[in-house]
Amino acid sequence: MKILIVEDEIELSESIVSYLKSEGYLCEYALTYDSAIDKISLYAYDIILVDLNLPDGNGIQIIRKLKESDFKGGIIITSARETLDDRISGLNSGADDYLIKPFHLAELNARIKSLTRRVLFKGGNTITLNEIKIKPDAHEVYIKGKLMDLTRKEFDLLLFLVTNKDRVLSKESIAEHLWGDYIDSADSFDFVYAHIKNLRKKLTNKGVGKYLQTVYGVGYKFIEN
Amino acid sequence: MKLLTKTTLFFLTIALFVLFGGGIVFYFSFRYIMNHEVKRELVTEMHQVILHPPQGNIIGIDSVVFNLPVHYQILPVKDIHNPTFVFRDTLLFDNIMGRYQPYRMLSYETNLDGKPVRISISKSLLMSDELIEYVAFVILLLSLILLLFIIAFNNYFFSRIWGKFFKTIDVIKDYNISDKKEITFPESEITEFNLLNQVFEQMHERIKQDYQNLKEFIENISHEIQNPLAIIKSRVDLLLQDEDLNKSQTDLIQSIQNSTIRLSNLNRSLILLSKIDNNQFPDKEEVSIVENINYHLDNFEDIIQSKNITLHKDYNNQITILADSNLISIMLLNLLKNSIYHNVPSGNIEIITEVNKLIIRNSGKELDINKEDLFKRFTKSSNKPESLGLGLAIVKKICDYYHCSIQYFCQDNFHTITIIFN
Repeated sequence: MKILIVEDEIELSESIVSYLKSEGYLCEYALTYDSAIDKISLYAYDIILVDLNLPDGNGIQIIRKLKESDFKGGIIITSARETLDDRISGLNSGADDYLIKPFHLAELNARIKSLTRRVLFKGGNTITLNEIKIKPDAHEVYIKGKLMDLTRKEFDLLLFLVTNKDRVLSKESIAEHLWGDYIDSADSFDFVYAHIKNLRKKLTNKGVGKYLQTVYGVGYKFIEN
Repeated sequence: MKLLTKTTLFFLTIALFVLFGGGIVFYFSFRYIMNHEVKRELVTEMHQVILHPPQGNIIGIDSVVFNLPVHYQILPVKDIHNPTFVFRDTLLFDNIMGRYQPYRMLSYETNLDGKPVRISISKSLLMSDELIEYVAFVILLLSLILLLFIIAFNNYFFSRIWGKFFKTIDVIKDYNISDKKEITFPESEITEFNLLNQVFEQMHERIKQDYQNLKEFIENISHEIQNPLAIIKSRVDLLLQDEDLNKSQTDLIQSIQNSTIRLSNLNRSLILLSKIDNNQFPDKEEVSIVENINYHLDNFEDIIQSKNITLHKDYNNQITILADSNLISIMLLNLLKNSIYHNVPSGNIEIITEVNKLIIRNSGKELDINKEDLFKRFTKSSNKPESLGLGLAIVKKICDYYHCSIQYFCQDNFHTITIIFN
């Protein structure tokens, strides 16, 4: 799977590449509008991340060019602009998702995975991790073939953890992913903790291994082995 | 004091002084001239009597002849004491009028037909006094008319000339820098007013320019801040993946992470506030307050449950308003968030809607900040130092933006926010 990151901040591009590379993606980045246009005309990518504000052009133009060239992959806009109008115009231009800066890398990863399932596997994909099988579109989780009863938030939490498996996820990134603007930062720790506790209890009850680990003082980690 | 009153009073004072002073001068000079005339006539009369003594049948010694308004009297005297003209004012009985009237009398002692006599010629002052009175009355009348005209003309010219000035004032009064409306000042035939308008126009241009620069600066800086924040956030995420972190290091990372989130939220809130200030939400659509609240409550559901908060909904009206749905959503989200996070464990929230009226009540600790400061930016409770103190400032701003009124009131540890929509 090949990803192009169009982002003029080199340090941010590097962070994204570094995170996504260990997920097994092939990553390249373009720091300017021109180099982005060069790259998309020369190589084929599965997913393209586009920053809207580029020093020598607008990310929307890149998306239009991609759509003209019959691009079949997924496009995610990353932008500091967060009004509804910006989002709507971004999505109308043909982008599949809109991620507001600053974002957590885990969040970006989850969005890419979700987009991959939606666009490249047409939603029919299932995620398997040892005895756990997740059908993201049906919102169903099977443990050793048996359907598991989870609340909506617990399902989202499990999917987020599994998507970012073997990664340390800070409680902030979990809180932001699950509740967004609805969580108060002062309360987020207790909240995430309570939900993790419930999820862990349910998984343990079903005989799932101790994959969900606490990284003291930081957050949580879902390990495969 | 109004300029009109001031100028009118000023003119009236001057006019009164001039008229009063002029009246006195006129009165006395007129009187002087009249007196002088009477004297001259008396002297002429006297000369005629002396040079052409009256014939016996007309006037004789020791006789009184009434020949109004001139009155002759020739009386014999023993000696001639004072052979000069003596003038004096006197009252003589007027047979026709039947009362005493003022006369000016000229007496002269001389020998008439060899006998010493005193010739007195008196001339009635009635005519001249009446004339003076009449003239004085006319002057007074003219003065009054003049004064009335001054007031009337002053009023007329004031409204005519200063009308444009007041239009300029109205334009400035209605002036709002965040309005995109162009302002135009009324053209006047008066140079000074046009100069004033010109100065205002230049000032307006300058303010507009400064405001525009400031606005762009704030927008740019806010967006530029998001990029370094994105870098910090992504770097911290990568740092967290390090297996060899010890506790003090993770504590540091934690602290960096928290501050980054706060800074990012602060920045987002400030961008929002500045966007509202800049009138960047011109879209209007029918927004249902109740639908919006229900949508947010769905998302808050597990949070409300975990805090064991009891929620009472009393919807008597849907409340639909014409507004930007995004802004209304942000406003309601902030209000509901406050009612949840500033609540007490096992507390209550009541949401009541009536016609054009939304009431959100929640239990909570007493405020440790001034009630008056509640809607100001960066006002926060000492219990929640990590809060930005911008939530209610944003709510207030949105309310102001749509001309809704918002009130806060607290009783028995129950906080009530009432919004009245227009």
